Amino acid sequence: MKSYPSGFGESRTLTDSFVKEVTRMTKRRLWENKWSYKEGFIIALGLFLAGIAIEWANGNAPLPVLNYPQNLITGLLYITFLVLSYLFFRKSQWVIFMRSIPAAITSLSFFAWNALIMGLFLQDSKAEGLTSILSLNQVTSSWFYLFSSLYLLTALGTLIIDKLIRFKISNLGILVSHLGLWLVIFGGSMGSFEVSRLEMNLKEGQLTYTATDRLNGTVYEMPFALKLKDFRMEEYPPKIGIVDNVSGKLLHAEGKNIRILEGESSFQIMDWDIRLIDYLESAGKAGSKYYFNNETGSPPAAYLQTISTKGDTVMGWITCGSFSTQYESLKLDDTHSIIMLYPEPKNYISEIELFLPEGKLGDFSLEVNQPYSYNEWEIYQLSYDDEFGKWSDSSVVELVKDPWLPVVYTGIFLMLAGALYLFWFGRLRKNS
Amino acid sequence: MVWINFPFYASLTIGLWLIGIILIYVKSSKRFTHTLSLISLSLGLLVLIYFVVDLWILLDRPPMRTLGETRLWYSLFLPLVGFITYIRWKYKWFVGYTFGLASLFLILNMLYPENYDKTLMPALRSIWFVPHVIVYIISYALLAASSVVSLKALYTIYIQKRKVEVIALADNLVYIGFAFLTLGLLFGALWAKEAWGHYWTWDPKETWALLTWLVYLVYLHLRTFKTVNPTKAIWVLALAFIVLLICWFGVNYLPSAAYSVHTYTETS
Repeated sequence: MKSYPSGFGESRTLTDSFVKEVTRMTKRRLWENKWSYKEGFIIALGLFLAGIAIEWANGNAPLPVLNYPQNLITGLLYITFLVLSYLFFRKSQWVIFMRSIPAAITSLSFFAWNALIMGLFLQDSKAEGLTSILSLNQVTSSWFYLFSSLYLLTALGTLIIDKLIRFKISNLGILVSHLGLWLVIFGGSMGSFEVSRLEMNLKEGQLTYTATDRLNGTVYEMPFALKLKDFRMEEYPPKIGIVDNVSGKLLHAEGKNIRILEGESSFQIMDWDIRLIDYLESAGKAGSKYYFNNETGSPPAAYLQTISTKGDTVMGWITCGSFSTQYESLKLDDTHSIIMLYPEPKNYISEIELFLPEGKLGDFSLEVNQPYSYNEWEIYQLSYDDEFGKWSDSSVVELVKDPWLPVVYTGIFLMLAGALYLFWFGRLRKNS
Repeated sequence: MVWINFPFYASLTIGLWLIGIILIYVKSSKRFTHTLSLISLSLGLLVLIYFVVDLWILLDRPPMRTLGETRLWYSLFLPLVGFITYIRWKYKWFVGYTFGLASLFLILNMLYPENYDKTLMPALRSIWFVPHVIVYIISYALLAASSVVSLKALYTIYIQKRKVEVIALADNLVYIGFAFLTLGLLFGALWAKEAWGHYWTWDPKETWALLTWLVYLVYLHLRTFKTVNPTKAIWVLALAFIVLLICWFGVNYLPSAAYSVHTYTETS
């Protein structure tokens, strides 16, 4: 075995310590060199804890209220900040990080974390205790939600500016998708200060010009008035089903209970053969029988013949009743009765007249999924007096104003385009 | 009254699929065997499509309202995904999974039959109803398929201790599945504006749908630079599927579900 001159042995020791030194110098320390997941996570965690601390210290701290034009000015200042920070500090840790994947992932995760809280805690103002103090029941009005939105918008915004300034056609998919999401979040957040959702309770024949904000009860005078000409509802035929006499509950019977009274006149429910002898869409009771009667409050009624598996025959009228009429069930045996359920609504329509101070402007029909636009207001059919059902003479409509909607719609449209791009090309960035 | 003749159609479908899957795995050099398997799988699909169309006509409304009805569509689209993937990329195990899971859903529907219920509430009478639901079901089928790939990848990494190659398939499935997921989310927002006056109200279903979207979005970002070790991405993909399942089923069982307009309606 050759023996090396001692010089080699000395060099090896030197090499070892040299390598150790270089490793120590190049192993990245936090906040140095290129920021990555660790820094991103700390930013997200820090923002969350800061938000929680503010909430805790102030017992459910309210966010600053930015009415128009403060929200617009703040928004524009923020965009200016993003653009300038990119233009003048392009090579800084901040900008390079904000347009990087770790920033995207940590900001998305932080936003998802807040969404998770919303998914687990019921978002209403009735909660008490720690949940309420920390705003866990109204996350979108919390400071940690504000901070996470800002982090996300900053990361997204910096990337968008980068892709706009260093534009390549192959990045069109990325640009469109990210810009779309940015506009939706920005427009939605800014717009939330200016969204108005008011309710108008209309009664047939009455002219109403005041609307109420559901959230705080404030009453507003509207620049127009509405008069309900007519409220009408189409219903499905009623369903019948078997209930337990003791609990009064409908039996499930693996889904083999409940029949709609339409089409067939004889069928089987559980252990009974049932024949529909007579059906009246609108009935009134006289003595022990039902006859056709078209008054307000006249419910549907059915005359049934039931035969159990044991051969017992029971016959009688059933009706679901209404606000003015008692319901009637048919007792099948000691433990079962057959009842009629209230008919389910198929469609309901409000015929409304619109008035301006100068006089009537026009008529329109309002139904669910078909709102009516007047100037900056969208009018929606909300509900009716469901105690009276189809005989309701009142109709609740919702008036919605959302000035930032065009921004959000633009964002949605861009995101749709981005999704189609992803579907078609398989990736948002063309492979090199 | 339950879905007319459903056990017959479902059994016929499952039977045809079973034949098809067996033929795929049978070692045969004959090209005929392969063709026969594809024919059998397609026939099964056609039988199911026939039933769905028939149900649509009978119910006089799109059969997309109840949980059982959406399971039916899932039983249709999941095998379609498996079929197309098999023709394109020849993954045999994938056919087994997709058709197997679809058969499971059909069996579930047979075990828990639903009422033949023609009622459709006014809120669902919209041109958005069908696109919104269909797009989501296609997306769920693709993303569920991708989750199975992630499970196979985890098996390859931790138990077989080999390099993962199947992640490319996961990527392809997720890109398209996520595109459909995005469409579903946005269609929902556009519909919400028409129906309820606002495009986003943080309703439990909406919130969990957003969460699902965000987790898959994180996966997409992790896969942007493909040099990164895919193990993290694969775990995110597995987690994403859990979130998807919570969104699809779990929301109905959360305490906040009572206030949601999205809980599947059964006759009460």
